[in-house]
Amino acid sequence: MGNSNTKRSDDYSSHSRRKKSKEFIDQRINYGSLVTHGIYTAQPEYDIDVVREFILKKKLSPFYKGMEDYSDNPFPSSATSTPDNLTIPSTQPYEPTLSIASSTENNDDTGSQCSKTRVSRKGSLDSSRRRSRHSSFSSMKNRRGSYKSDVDDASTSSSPITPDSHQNSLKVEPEHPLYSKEEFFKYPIECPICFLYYPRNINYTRCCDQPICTECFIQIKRTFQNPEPTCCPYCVQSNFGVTYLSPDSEEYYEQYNILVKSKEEHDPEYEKLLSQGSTPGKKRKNSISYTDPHIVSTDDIYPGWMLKYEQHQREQQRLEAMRVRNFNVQVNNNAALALLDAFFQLPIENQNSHSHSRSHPHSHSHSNTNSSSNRQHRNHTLQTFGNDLEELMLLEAIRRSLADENNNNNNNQSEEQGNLNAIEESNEVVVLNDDEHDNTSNISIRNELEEATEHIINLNLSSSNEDHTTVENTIDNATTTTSATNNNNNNNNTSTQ
Amino acid sequence: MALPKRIIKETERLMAEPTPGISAVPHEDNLRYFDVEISGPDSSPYEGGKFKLELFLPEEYPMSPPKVRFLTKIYHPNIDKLGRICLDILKDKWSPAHQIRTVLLSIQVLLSDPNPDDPLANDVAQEWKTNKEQAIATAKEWTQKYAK
Ligand SMILES: [Zn+2]
Ligand SMILES: [Zn+2]
Repeated sequence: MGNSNTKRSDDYSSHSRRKKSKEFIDQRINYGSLVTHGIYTAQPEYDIDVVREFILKKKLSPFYKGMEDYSDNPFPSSATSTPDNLTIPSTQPYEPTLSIASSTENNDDTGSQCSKTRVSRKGSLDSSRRRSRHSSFSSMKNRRGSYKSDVDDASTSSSPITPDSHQNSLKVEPEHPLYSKEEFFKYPIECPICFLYYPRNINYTRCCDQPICTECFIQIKRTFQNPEPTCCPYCVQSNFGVTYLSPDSEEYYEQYNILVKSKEEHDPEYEKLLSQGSTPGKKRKNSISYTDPHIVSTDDIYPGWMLKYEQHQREQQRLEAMRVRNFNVQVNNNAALALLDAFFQLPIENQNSHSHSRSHPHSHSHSNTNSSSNRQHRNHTLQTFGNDLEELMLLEAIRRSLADENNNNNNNQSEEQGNLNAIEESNEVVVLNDDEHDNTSNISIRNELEEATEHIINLNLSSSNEDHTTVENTIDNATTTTSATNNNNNNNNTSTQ
Repeated sequence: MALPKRIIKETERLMAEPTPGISAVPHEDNLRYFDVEISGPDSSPYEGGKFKLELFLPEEYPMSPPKVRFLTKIYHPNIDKLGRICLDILKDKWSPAHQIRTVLLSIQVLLSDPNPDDPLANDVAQEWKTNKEQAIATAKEWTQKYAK
């Protein structure tokens, strides 16, 4: 029942993956890429194609292989990155940036200009230069569409360059014209969710301006258990979403420089600047609305979620209806049987609550062969009391069959109910995953509870060889431990993986 | 399956900068399973007690909360007789920004500040509401008896 539903959604997602994955070719974007690095092992539910689209549109940070340890300069470049055979006038304006932006597409004469910019950028921290930089940035952006002619212009207008410096520079920065790899990864930032270090162009939460890497961001999702809009992991504001500042933007470049400068000059303001979230130097005052077009929200990257949820709900309703129907059928059957019993006027002892409903057919046939005088007597009584009695008997039969039902299921029912309450009230079973949730019968939920408890206990037993139930002053786990031993093999498999 | 860096770092930080009154030590053969000990907070009925818990980080951690349970018997309206804890951040209020440390701190706070209006152990909660003095006396008694 539940499995069929799960299967269906699996088919759905694998289908869409198959359909789209053919077209996928990874791309390098700002020294990152379009593929995750496997921090999370669960089957992804986000729409990876949508995520990639956002990365390509520079609305999400690309995927980077997070660095395990902090280093000021994780990718120190070779000495060739700042060739000293270049003479750059100290007043060099930012025009070269223009040609550098296109340098990766043109092998002629542009490499050394990369170096040139880098050198000149080092001197760019005085404000007048930064200002001039701004204007060239926007013009560069505007003219990106027509690289070729720009490059030609630039290369003809700039001074001749030696071929080997050109080669070296290209090796240093094949992908990113504005920053060398060294510059790009300098002073990385820690993602507070996965504890790995990333280049500074990380995503920031729209609400409280805290960093989060893309791999962590896409893991945060609505669940069938909690279908409400997702919350920010840091400030718990609803409608979680992030902003991203592309390193190609002027604004990013400006902030990069502020930070690098304060860091390298041992500015005591550095920590303060760092704590200013996405916009060091001018702290963002307000949260950005989740409807803002620059925001990427959870719902954006889980586009089919609501449909899946509705499907899930319909399935739940169908199962619930089926359960109610089964119950009613059973009650009706029981009532009919009880009514027949009453008709046949079985001795009252045979009708007490110990007789299981399934045994009725036997007693029925037994009584059938028993006596025909009973039947006559019954008819007589019925005629005497008329319809009132019939109604009374029906009510009594229903009442009795319900009582019977209760008796039969008494132990299971109350235990299951207790466990259900326990699930709701305790942390032991934290999140039933989709498959488990789909199993809506009480019994399977009860098993789930035991498994969760067993899991802990089992690990405990297998790892310490110490039975907690025998340790004084510890909680009596007799019931759960028993079932833990029963399922020992299963659980060992899962726990040792 | 390799242990995620986050779990390794959390463990290292727990060891390097222990929180007063809280210890969490991973099992050598299962680094997702921790033996935890929380000291009963001062001026609470649990003062002087040392409470053992078990903590397990499921595969989905930190996207799913850790599973935590008291092993030491404790008389508390939000902890049932199986040691299960009623604490919102262990359920629907979980956030991946929480850590092992913050979870254990929250449990410590729960010991200082029981919440009988959101009970897990109904009988205890009832006692806590109707006869607080007696409830606290029982909690102290259990602490003496089981948590030494
Ligand atoms: Zn992360
Ligand atoms: Zn926030």
